[in-house]
Amino acid sequence: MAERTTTIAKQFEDLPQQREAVTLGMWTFLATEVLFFGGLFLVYSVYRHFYFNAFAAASKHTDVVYGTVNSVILITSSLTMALGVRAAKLIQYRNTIRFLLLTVCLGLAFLAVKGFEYHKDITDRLVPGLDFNPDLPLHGQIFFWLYWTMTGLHALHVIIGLGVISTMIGLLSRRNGRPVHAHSIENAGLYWHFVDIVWIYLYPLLYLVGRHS
Amino acid sequence: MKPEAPSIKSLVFTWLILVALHFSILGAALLPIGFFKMPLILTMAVVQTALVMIFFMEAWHGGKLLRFFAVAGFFWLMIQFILVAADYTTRMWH
Repeated sequence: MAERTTTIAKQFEDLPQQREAVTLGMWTFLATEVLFFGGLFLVYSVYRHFYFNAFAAASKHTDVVYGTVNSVILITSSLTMALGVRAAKLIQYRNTIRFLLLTVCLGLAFLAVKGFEYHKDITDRLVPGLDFNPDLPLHGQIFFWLYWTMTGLHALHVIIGLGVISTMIGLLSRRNGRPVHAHSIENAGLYWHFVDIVWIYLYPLLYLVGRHS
Repeated sequence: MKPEAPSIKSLVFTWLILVALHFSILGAALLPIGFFKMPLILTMAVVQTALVMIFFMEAWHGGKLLRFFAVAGFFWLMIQFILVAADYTTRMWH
């Protein structure tokens, strides 16, 4: 009975049922997140349709080097997260902690690069409404409203993800020999991979439109 | 009982394809291919999404219900886009 209370919540029959319920709950939450970011992508699409050339001109002012470096960092952090989840499933807790710490480091690196990029954007007067760069078309301001909102909300999700992963590291470090559910780590991983997927679309839409012309 | 774990090889291979696709997207963006550029780039982004969902998130390892929930968000998003596109492309907004 003691084993049951430490591993399975009382509302579940067994561990597979608990695992299925927890994972399904997480995917449901991620579906709401898809719609949350989807609204922003929809607004982007509508304004891109109306101000096609202004968006292309404004996009050229984003820093593609920072964007590319951050993409590689985030994709790599997804790998370390997946390796951490794998180690948790195999009950290799030390390896899990190592991979989760690596993921946190990569997440912090992403935020640091984003910080440098934001600093450059402010220096280049790319903040709409605040002495906006006159070299850009008027509707370029709409592009940069979306740029700041979408990348800002994404960065907020990265910060939340880092908090969740750090909590998992804390749980693993203070477990005192008790088992830790792999699905708790798995759910943290699902959230982190979702954050990666959002960036997969932000990168081309914000950094690459109109690059060749 | 340990849950089924993916192999390190498959995870690293997925990462390599994701990075390769990422630089392919960057390369495609620099090509003067006009109208086809964004559809090509977004197709590659969709492939990246599928790879992350299948190999990193293991969406296809769960039951049918989980798979249904995994695609539900994208399905509703598709409805949202289609209805809004129908409105903006058929009314004279300008």
